[in-house]
Amino acid sequence: MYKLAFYGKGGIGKSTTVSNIAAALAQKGMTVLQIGCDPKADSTMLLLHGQEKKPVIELLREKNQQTTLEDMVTEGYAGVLCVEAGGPKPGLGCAGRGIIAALEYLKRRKAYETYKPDVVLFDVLGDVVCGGFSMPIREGYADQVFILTSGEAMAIHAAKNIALAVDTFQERGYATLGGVIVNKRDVRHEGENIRQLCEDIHSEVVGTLERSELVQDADEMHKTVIEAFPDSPEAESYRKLADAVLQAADRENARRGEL
Amino acid sequence: MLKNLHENKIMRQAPEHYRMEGGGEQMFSSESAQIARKYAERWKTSDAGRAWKSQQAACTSRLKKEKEETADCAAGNVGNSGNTGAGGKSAAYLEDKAEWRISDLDSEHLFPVGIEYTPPARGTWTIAHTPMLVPGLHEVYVCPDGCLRGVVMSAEEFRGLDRFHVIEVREPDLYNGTLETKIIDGVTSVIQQIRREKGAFPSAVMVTTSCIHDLMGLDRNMVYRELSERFPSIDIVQGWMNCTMRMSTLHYEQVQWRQNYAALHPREKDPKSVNIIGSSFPLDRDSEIVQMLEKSGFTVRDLPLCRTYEEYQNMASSSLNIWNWVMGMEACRDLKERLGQKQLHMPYPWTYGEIRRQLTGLHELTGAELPDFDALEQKAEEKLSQAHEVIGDTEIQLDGVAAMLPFQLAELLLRHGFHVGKIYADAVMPEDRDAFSRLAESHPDLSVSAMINFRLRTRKCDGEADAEAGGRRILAVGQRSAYFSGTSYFVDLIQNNGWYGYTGICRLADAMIDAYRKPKDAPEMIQIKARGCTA
Repeated sequence: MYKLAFYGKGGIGKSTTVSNIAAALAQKGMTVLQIGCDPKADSTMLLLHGQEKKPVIELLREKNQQTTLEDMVTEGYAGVLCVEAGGPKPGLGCAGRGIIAALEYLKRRKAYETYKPDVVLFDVLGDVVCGGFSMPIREGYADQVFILTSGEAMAIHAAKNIALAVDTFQERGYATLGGVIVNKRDVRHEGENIRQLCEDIHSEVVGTLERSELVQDADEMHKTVIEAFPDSPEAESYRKLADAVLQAADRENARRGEL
Repeated sequence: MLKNLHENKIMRQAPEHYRMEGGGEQMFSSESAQIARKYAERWKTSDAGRAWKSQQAACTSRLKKEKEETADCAAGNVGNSGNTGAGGKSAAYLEDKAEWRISDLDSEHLFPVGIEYTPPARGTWTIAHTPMLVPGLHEVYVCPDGCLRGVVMSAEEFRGLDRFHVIEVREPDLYNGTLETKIIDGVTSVIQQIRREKGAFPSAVMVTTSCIHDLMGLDRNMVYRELSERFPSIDIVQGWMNCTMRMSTLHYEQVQWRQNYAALHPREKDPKSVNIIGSSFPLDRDSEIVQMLEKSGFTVRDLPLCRTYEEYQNMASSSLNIWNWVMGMEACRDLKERLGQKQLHMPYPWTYGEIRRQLTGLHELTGAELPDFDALEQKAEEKLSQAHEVIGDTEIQLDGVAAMLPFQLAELLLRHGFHVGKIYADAVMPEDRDAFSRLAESHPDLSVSAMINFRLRTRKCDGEADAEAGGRRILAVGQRSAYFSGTSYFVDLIQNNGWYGYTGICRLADAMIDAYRKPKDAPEMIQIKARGCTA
């Protein structure tokens, strides 16, 4: 089973990218579970055609221990299994605690054993701001972390922070860095900035997505590019990225095995 | 990296004298009852009290309406009144009281759950006490200062501070992210200190975390793995003291009892060895269970009787686990899964039929020879008869902490002519439901009182009321019933005291005679936490 976490600066396009990767892998016949780890609970929106997905935290609030797997998991486009962890109302409560509670509850309800996914994708909020947001990279959750970034300074800064967090947890046997995914914004010195980032965090680019209006068109249709424009070059880019991510995970697993 | 974060100052020893000064009035004294009444009066005139009164008025009005509807329904005036619940008893629940006639109650839901009161009848053992049964085990509690207070006081009370250690969690641990490293480094310091003082590593260390660790999502796997790797010769056992989050449907004492056996390592099974699991008190060695097994060549092991760590580890070689007290259930499930030990549930019975059924089950499973049931029954009858001759018509009150199946016990006593007036219980165990139903039929006026309902805090105890009326004697069976009745004549029975079967009935009958004849200093006796616990 591939267990992959995706981090990156807010607004960088994580959910769009992760949803397209999920759709591409599902179309190849794999069972994919996508878990949105963001209080906004909008990670799986494109896979569910804009349909509102009740997050785990809200379900626990309403039904407590009576919450079932069926309540939490909704089947989306191409059979992708969609879960939203959710969180408290903005300004209230503790979002990190929400992630912890949701992921622990999924585990306790044996979500992984029941659905036996080939791939689990954790789509995580921008920064690892507290212990709750490092939960997806703990032992038993994701094995590899992929960082999404553009060449913009703030995105690069966030990427470095995430890489630092991953490095901090190496001794604990947490997930390792799988690579960098570039979502281009066509800013000045973008390529150079990305190269410098990879050098700084001892990683490499596993895939690059060109800036495209088509992705926004698909977003407006509440669909993934894979579904809305399956024959487009952009869809093909996502398919290639999905393959590249799995290959990178294989390489990283092999390296870990050797260690 | 973790080693660099180590700070010695995070670990501190429990203070030698950590006792609460003053406070803690006992309800036994008339002065404290006056204090309680004074507070109750003050509360009634407060905003909260007035709000409560208004709520009660609404409740009474609902009750009246419900009764009228039920009456209408019985008279055939209403087709279907609905919502009358179990046998028309739901109306009773609208009137929230702490005591009812047994015939008004439903055995599956005795009392509404709400604000609780814990009386100072403290002989039962807690999570700070039962791990001490494991020879040589050291406890390390990791929690904020306020939570530490209770367990430190417990440990000091049983003079167990040389096997009890604390690590304090502070706010900076939350924002600095040092929850994990503090446990690892703190426990390391504790173990090194033990080695310096005793000249050897301890056999086992139970590291108990608190609510804050679960709230913050402590990386439990990493912490305990790291400790086990640092100290491979020590059994590092996980413990939980989490009062705010119920992570499963298990009772915290059930989890604790499971962990008390968690250090057992797999061993080759001995088909002629049996364990008794899950009780703070050893099963009576004269009981039919032990006698049957030992006479047939079995070794019977019981944690409270283990004197060395090796004796404790020998429990892993037993092929069968018997649990008499409900707290042993989860431990038996876990031991079956981990060590492949079979399990047999033999809940402390008080009816002859049930005793025979359980012992026959043991015989069928192990081949141990059955005792002469008729002779044992005859002896129990004689003992009960002797007790009745002495005690006569004196009212008896008993509780569900003294006996796991108090309704079976009440039935036994009532059938032998005793005057049982009240049973204290918050719930009815499944094994006790038949006895409950029979009692509801045969003795509908028998009183059943809650043990933890908040109203008990200010209720006048029966003994006090009787003293004002000229006095009468109450014989209590159990610490809770002794406290609530206010009597000095009581049997100090906690969790059956390990008394089982016919032998258990004989022991109880003797103890009742003794209690009737010799009054005890009840407040002094029952306020001692975890009767018999030593380090």
